[in-house]
Amino acid sequence: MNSCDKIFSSIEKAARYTGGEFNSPEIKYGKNTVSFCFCFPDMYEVAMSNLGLKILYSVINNNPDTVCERCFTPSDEFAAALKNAGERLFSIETKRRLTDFDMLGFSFQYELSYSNFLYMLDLAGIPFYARERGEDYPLVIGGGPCMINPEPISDFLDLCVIGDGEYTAPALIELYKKHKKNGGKKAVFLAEAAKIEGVYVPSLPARKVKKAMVKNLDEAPFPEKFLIPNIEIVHDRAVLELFRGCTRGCRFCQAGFIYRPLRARSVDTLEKQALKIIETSGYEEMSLSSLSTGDFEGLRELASRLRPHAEKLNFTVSLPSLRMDSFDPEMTENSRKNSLTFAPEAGTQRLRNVINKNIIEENITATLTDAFGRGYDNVKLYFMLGLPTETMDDVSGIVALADKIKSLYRQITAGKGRPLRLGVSASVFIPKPHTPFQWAAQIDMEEARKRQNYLREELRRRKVNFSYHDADSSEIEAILARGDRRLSAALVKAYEKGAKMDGWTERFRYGAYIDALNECGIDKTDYLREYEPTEKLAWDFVDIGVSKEYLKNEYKKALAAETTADCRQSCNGCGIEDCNQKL
Amino acid sequence: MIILKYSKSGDAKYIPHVDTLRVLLRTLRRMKIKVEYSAGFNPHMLINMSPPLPVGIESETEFLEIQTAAEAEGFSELFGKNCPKGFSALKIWQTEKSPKITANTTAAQYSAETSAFDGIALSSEEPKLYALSAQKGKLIFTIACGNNNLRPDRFLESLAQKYNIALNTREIKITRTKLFTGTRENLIQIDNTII
Repeated sequence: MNSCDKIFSSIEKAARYTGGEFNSPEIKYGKNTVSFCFCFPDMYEVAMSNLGLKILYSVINNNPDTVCERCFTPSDEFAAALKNAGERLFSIETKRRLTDFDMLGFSFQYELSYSNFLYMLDLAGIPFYARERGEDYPLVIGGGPCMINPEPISDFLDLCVIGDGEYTAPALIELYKKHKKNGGKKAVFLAEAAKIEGVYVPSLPARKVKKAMVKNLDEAPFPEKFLIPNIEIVHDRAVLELFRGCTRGCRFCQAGFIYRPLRARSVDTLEKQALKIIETSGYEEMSLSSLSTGDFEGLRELASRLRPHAEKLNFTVSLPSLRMDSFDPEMTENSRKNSLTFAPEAGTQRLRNVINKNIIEENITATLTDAFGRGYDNVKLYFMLGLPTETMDDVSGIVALADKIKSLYRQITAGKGRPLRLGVSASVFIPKPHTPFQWAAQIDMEEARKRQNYLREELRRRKVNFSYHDADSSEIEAILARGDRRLSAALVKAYEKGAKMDGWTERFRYGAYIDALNECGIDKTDYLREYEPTEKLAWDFVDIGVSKEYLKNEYKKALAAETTADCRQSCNGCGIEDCNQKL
Repeated sequence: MIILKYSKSGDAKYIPHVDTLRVLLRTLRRMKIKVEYSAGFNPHMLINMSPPLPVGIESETEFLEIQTAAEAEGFSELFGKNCPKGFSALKIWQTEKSPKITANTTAAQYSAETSAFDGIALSSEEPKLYALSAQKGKLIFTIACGNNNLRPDRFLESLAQKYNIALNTREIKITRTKLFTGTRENLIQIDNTII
């Protein structure tokens, strides 16, 4: 029994680490092969649900002379078995040590995954700080949405890819191929790489970095085959990406701003991709994914084209990310009436105007009237607590809304059928970089808990299911989101104190972070307070296309509860050049 | 209906039973053969698996009963093209009558790669044990399987304990080699019950 088998046979869910999934590419190492390991700082079940991984894995493996393998955050059990065997963290496909790769690409989807990043480096035997790594260590590259403010982890990364990765990653690899052949030094490579659009090299003197953006999604690489996991994962279905970006301009939403401008795929392309994926995957369900699926102009057309295929090949189509002002119940007519999920985000119209979530009460009533009439009896609503200008009136507005919905249900079903299952979820607002609210303060944790408790009492009394996270993790997320390089030392300390798997509620250690910040002499309120409009922000050097002036103006409007219309109606001048405005 | 006999080996041994079912379902979907579905609100494929194989145990004798009008011809190749690593089609039967493998299996033969028991005069009073022998690095035993189940690794552990042998069963390659129906006195291999 080899050392891998010894490790696998001693742990639970070993299938996370063994590979061999259907559609696994043939991995061949030649003399000049550039080896890339896609590292996702979370467990297999979460990592394999990520679309970015699917795309880059396919793109890099299809490239001759390059190989892409995977490595994810292992369980504590696995890590212990690894240590016992005297081994270092290795990849899934060929069980190759991370230190033997040319490049490690870490995908940062959420800030609380930073501790897992350090955990993986630690298990791999790789020094945390880029300055401590000599020529023999792989290049440690960061990608994913968090890279629009990479500063808390910039000191750990050799290079960051900001924005879309479809072309930037291959460009980096091509450059590296040349560089490897000529036997160049890391610093020379990094200086060259910095010239590629979207690439940020933290060790070089500060300069503005423009995010990479794929203009035409129809032409952009998209995998024909996905790796099909052998075990159950979080999002165990085929994913079709309808469009990137969003025109709504909700002021709290980072994704809506950093992925501008809107770029959609054509219905023709989507139909082709959908068929290919279902045929080569055997998936039973396909999700039409985007930031606001109901806004896709070709949605009806696509749905009607997919319907006959869905019947023949026996799969269902699911539509996540629906809005209450563009929900068309006919889209979900043929599927089972599961639950409907919407995100009003705020309980009163005033606050919805502040955050520019342009859902009016008529939308809510109309959508639910239609849905209840069709037999839906399970609704989940998402809200945030601690939004800028929020008062208790707004919080009790959530309860009032729940009451209205319950009586609407009673009215429509006239007492027949099952009782309504209404769920409310409230998360704590986190001010995010590159949004109009990037200057806003985060609510005090005590106050957040007060409001959570209030909601819990009022909703439970009404037999409405209320779910929420402990506010503490939101505070740490806020600190990391608007963080700067001072935080790298604190991150290392927090990890050393046991911070790990922070995205998992039962594992999150608030104390580790607070102690680390204290020991580093960092006042956490520096990152939680309101910022002046004239202050320099750590992420100002990243150009996402939307101007800082526009964001400032949006924040002003927010404080006056003035709304901004969907830019499909008319251009609001956010600063994006090369904008199509078409879906 | 089609009866498929397949092997599960290598790292596929770490895929638990419930996940193996999903693997097989998706393989069948990729094969694009017409499998019958159950009626009602939540239709599922009409298939049946042989009794669960514990995680970590390999097998040369897994069965899948599939309610389908598909032909046996070409089935093995199609399965091989659409299954993940570690699975392999061994034999196909086309039959009208279900051998009810899930319900009828009573025993399984296992082979454990270990020389720890070589030369020992083995015997066991274990009521769920039907046959036992050790030959040159292999321990072969037939134990209860199915409704009245005995796990091969647990059996191995208790046997090692009985003979005072230090053994880490996790580090031993155990393979399920035969499936039986019938009684202790008259065990019949499942393969031979399929018409």
